[in-house]
Amino acid sequence: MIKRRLSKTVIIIFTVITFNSTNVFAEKNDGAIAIDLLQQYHYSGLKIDNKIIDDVKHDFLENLDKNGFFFLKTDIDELLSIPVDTDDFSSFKQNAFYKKSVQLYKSRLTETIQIVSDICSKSLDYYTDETITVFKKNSADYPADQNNKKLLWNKIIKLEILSRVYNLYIDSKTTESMKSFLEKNETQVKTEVEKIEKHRIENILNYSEGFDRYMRQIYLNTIVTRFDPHSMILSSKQINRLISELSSQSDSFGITLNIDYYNNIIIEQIIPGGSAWKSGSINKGDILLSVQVPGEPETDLSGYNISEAYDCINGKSNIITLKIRKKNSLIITCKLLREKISSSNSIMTSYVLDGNKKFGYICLPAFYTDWNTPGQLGCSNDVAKEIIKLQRDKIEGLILDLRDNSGGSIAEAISLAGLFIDEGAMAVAFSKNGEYIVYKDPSRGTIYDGPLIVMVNRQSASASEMVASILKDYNRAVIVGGQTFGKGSAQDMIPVLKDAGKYSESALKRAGDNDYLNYTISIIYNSTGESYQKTGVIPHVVIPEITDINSIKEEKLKYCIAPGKSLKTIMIDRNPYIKSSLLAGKSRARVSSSNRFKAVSYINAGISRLSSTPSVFLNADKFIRDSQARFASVEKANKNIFMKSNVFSARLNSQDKDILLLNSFIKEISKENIKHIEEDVCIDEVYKIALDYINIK
Amino acid sequence: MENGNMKKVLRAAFVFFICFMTYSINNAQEDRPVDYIDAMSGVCNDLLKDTWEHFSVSVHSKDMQAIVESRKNCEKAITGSIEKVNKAKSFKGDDLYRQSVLKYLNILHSVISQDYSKIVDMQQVAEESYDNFEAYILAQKKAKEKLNESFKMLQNAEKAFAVKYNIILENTESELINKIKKASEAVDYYNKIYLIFFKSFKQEAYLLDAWRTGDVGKIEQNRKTLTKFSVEGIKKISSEKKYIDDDSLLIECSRALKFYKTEAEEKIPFVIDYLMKRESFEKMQKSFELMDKSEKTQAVIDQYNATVNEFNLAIEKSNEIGESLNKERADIVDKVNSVIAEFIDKHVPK
Repeated sequence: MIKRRLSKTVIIIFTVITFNSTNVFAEKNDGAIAIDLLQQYHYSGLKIDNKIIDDVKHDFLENLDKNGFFFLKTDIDELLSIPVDTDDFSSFKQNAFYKKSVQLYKSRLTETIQIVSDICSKSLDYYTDETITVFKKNSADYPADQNNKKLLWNKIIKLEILSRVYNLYIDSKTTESMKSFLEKNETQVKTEVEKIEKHRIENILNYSEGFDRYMRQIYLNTIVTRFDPHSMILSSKQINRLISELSSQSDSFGITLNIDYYNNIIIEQIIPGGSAWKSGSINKGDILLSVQVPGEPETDLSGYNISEAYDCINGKSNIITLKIRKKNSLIITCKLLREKISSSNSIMTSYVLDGNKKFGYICLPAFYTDWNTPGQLGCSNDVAKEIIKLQRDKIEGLILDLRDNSGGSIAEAISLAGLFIDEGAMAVAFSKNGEYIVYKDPSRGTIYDGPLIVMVNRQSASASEMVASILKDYNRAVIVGGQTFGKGSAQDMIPVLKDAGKYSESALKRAGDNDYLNYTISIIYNSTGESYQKTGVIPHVVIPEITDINSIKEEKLKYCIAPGKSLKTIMIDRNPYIKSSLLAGKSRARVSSSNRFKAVSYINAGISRLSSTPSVFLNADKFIRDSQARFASVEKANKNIFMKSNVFSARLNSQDKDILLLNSFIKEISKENIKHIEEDVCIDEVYKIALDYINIK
Repeated sequence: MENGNMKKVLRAAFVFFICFMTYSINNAQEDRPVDYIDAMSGVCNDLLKDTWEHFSVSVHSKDMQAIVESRKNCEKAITGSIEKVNKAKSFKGDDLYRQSVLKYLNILHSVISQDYSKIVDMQQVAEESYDNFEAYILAQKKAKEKLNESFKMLQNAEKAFAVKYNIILENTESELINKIKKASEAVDYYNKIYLIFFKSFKQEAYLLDAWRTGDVGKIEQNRKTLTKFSVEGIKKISSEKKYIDDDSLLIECSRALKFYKTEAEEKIPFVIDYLMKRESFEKMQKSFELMDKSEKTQAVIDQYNATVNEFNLAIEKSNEIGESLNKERADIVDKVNSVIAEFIDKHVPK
């Protein structure tokens, strides 16, 4: 159950935090080997030529300085003019472009620390009429000279200060004017901002394994992602951290962290069965903004590196409250309990929605693991158990919520879809040279034959899209929500070793502490030869959702693979046609007259305006006026969107009810989850669609 | 988890691949075409003995080595025949008949050596089949169809050749041909009944596998499928007639299918219940461990004890069911095996 409530501190999205990745990958990289492996095995069959080299040069500089905060325009021109031939391309020693870029980047970073110090040592004028452009999505607009760079940083620091002061102002609930609040708190906040901004840059310069290694990692991953956006190099350290976290018997909150390209601390993995998983509020890729331990002030994680963030959540307290920014920019808070994670326990909970009819509701926030865990039963087994429980509650329909589910293993997706399909082929994976594998339902028979609704949104990706695509192909479920992300590719992993060969157990054993290449091996097609790669799965019934301000879909990703039409079609035993246009028509009529969905549209229009005119006022008066107006409209929209459903009430399934509610923490979480289900405008509409579906069936 | 399962190995389904020419040549009016047709049909009929011997050993023998040996001999004989036909020339430029003999012999060789990939699209077979066993059965079926088809083409070519050169073909009977006919009927009947039974037998194996891993989802899916297959099987068996006066195969296969039906419909739900109660118990235990002393009220303790009791009862019931199913299954598989052996001995000549 994802809390989709808009945060009151929504203004924080204006802070422009666009620094570099500190992904911990590529311990001992070897560019030449990785390139050889990619050229040998990658789906695209791409060969390195001058065009690719030029792309990589541009991308590398962009990855180093996504928003043009460090380099000058002249630097970029000079660096791009350095020729690179195919022999030097993968060599860190002979590639003059690479060497010069690294050298210049280092000096520009060092120089920026001084610029930040200089700006923060002086008093800032918050009443000049100026603006800063945010949400730059593509090419960086680099400052023309040093003077322009200083002016830019002056604006960045002012925006950071204004945003933070404004958030403090809102939280303080004071009756004084914002203007006087700014005057009182400016010095302290400026000191904080100076510290944070410098810390961000120092994190790059003082990278734990050395600045040079960090640069090599970025360069190598720039090459790899030129093949497609889902290929990447993973270090053994990164993989081991995930595995040890999974097998750990120690207490934990059940999340692993990483840092994204914008230097945000992100949720890398939620451990099945852990506290974060149970909360139902956290998804892979969410941004962790702050941590609060009971009785202590909130710790803002801006500028923190991974180990600092881990130290912060792994303190002494058994309960923490995280502030998280969801992928659709909404900010939520989530309370977690430190506990032992045991894979033997069921880690899912199902609910009954009681109204005119009784529907089951299961939310799957993520597929359990992205790698093989021998002997461990996957999430499809847990979904099956929940369905059995719900059937004992005599449900008349089932809602499977895959919104915000960013995917997992193909095997799990197939097993999950197989719970609802008797038998047959489910998908075809085409690899390089037209070779293909037909994925079939691994188990004959179904768990549930009744009406099924699958909820998806634009953040439903990969395995969750696959489930939706298969069930749609078989006419087995009504797919409801937003068009999905569009990741219809499959990846495989091999160690970056000279004679690695394709993935094999022995090769992995030999890999030791070498890096791993996660590369795209195939594109997934359905029985009719269509693929959801790039476009996503189009639901039978589209319902509005709050738009992601930084909306990324597969088709927007640089170098995403465009699938052709597959020549291979397979015979499947389809269910009778779903009268989707009838269902969609009824839903459209309801949505267009619903105040709740009008509020969603209102928010979306605001977000859209923001994206098209991404300038923020740096004049305090205008900034305050603008923020307050936005705050008020968000408050109003919140009130209208989030209200208890008048068509159903939610409760735990009968088998778990008595057991789960004995524990006060779980009781609290369950109460919260039930509240979120009941207040979710999309679930409310899905309930009505389910009623229609039963009636017209 | 103890659930015993297939302690007994079942006999495989036999596929009868012998096609035979039942013509002899009479009233020859021209020497050379008669000699030619005689030589060609002779090559095929000479193989009858080798293929029959291999078939007989495969059906009656329990010695794997002997079966492998007989297959090798048969393959060798076919290869010899292919060489002979290859060396032969066309009849005055008319090569249709010889080519059809050659095609038939090559397909026969692939069938006997079980190298189906030469004559069947195995990729398609794999896509159409649920598992390796089904793929094997389907490949055999398609191979047999190919063989029959090529044999028909051979017969047609032979008839055309005879007509063209004014040769009259007469049906002949021999002791070997009669034996083959009788064996063919019995094996076809056996295969039909056996496959009805085996579909559920194999499905039960999947169910037991899921039970062993405790995968509730798979148990439920396989349980439902076993119910479907056993019900279908019982219906099909009840519509089958006995073989001559022998209904032993029908009786035992039907008994086995009824066992599977009861297992799937009545017994396995208790196993699922046990697994669900185990989960409840584990959740309960975890909640209990996390509670402060003050939270452990009498009501909580009562609830905990009730869950433990329910769990214990479910374990007992599940174990009891596992044991009785194991016993009954072993008995049923024994019976099916012995009835098959008796049927083969009785109806398939040696």
